[in-house]
Amino acid sequence: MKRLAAAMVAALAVTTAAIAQESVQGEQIPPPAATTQDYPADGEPAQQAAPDAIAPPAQPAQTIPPPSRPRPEINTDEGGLWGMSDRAEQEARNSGQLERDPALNAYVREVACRVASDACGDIRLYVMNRPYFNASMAPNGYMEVWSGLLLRVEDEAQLAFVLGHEIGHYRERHALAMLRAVRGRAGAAMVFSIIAAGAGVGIVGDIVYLGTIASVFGFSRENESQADMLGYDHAVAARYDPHAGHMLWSSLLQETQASDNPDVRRQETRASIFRTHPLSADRIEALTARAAQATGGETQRARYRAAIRPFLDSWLRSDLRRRDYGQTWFLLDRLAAAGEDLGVVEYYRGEINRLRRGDGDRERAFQHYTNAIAYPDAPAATWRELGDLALRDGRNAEAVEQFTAYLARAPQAVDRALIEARIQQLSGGGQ
Amino acid sequence: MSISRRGLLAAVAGGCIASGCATIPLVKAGPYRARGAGFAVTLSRPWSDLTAMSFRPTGVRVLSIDGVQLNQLVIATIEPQGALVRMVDRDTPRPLYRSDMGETELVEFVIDSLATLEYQDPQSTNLRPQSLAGAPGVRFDINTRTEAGLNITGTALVARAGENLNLLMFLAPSEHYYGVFAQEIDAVFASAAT
Repeated sequence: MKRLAAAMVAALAVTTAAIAQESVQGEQIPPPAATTQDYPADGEPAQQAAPDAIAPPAQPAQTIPPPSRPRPEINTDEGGLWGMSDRAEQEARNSGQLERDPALNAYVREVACRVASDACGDIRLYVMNRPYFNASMAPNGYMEVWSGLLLRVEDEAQLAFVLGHEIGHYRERHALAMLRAVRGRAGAAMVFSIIAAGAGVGIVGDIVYLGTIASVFGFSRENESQADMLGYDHAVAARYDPHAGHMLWSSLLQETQASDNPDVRRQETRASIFRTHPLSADRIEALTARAAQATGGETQRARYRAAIRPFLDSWLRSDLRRRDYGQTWFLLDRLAAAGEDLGVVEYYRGEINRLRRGDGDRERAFQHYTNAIAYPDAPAATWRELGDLALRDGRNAEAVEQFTAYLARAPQAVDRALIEARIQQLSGGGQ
Repeated sequence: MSISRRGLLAAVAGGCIASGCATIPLVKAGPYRARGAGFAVTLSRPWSDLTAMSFRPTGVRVLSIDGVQLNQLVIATIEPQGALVRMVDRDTPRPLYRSDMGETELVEFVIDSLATLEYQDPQSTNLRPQSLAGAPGVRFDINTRTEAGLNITGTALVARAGENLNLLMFLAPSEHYYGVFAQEIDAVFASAAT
């Protein structure tokens, strides 16, 4: 399987190398619209946006300062790096995975700007609906934050830490250092063509993409330790909880160990940010020691939860589709720790049991669904699942009652016609 | 496998692709029963059978007129513990059909399978009862988009046949292509017979 993956990466490199070579050596890709169109009058002179560019979500014009660093000349290695980053950014901007919700984008950007300080104007942030923990910031200022990260971060301080970490890589030009380091070992254009073509498809594509960028953008442990400390400094300077960093990394390692998949448990870095950001115990220890000397700081947990609450249902559904029930269960425990959103959490615990179909799972699913409907935020689908369980057990009258309750709570349900037909059939057939 | 044998196989495969020796079977208009399928449909025009290029499990056929990105008709009979999609990585779990699935779970099986492919956040809509080859089933519509952001519309019909699952599904870009084929696909679905 590893050979197959290696062959795929090699094939990607071969098929895209020519395009990448052209881009790096000669063709300057127009800068993304968001880098140039929204600066205030006293900022950098605005360049013409690409005519077909789609505006990225929620980049509030009035609050964006000018970039802190000029665009490098195209005939330099850093200029080539920016060119490839522009290309990747263009793909992200047009991607079907782009989350365009204005409020969420504005919120994440606000946190990023708070920790980036004078580099705020460099950042163009894209929230991507991908159910894995990942964030990155390219040398041109293009930043991706994945929904899987937002689902796993417990509070604003943890988000600030991880964004500060990425901004640390950006400030220190770690990608450029990496490029210069690998140039002696492989053609840089080929390497970056892998990035450009590496975004595969679907859930498997997400994993392949993570692995691909890990093979190229895998920063050194020294880079990571430095970025950790910079992330810490940025977050603490912005008055965030100093314990956020080590708590987040520790929690993610625990989630890895909770995986159903033995390979994931053995390879702590599989399908996580740690493929590109190698994590070691000494990094957690260093952050813990640093935080022990600090006082104060806020988690802004309630504010963070309010920002992501509208997305919990859809993000949890996406996470469930990975079918790593151990990890999703761990995640649900974390979400429930503060006693919030228990209707949604209990519903998804029931969903895990329903999908897993192990010994006793059906009874446990029933219990979790029953728990869920005691909370006002239980999804309407909870009643439908209870109806299905009743139907399987031959409790037809109860099934009709639950299906009716479902339709009352979701009058526009996409399966209304199906449920109505079922109710009619059951009502006619009796118990 | 030794390196030399692997290299030889790669060379043969590469040469085969380069010379265009891979063939695409043509499915003629008229009654058509896919290999392994538990039902037959009637096609009003010829379709290309792109199954071999679509990386699908046994029992799943993929037909197309203009290429799978522009229109694809999936005809499948799936056995218990079978899948609609094949994963590149054998360690990655995939949605599996189980004979005890309820109607909404059958829809979920199809939608979750699409989510493992290039389709982003696929959603089912308008679920309604409809028979497939005489067996009671569920018809539903599909809305999704590709990784590159192209909006895709689809429609599917699933029904259990004994322990197996019979499935018909059509996907096409929402703009132009889906509408062009919608009526014809309805007729294909209605023609299903054992």
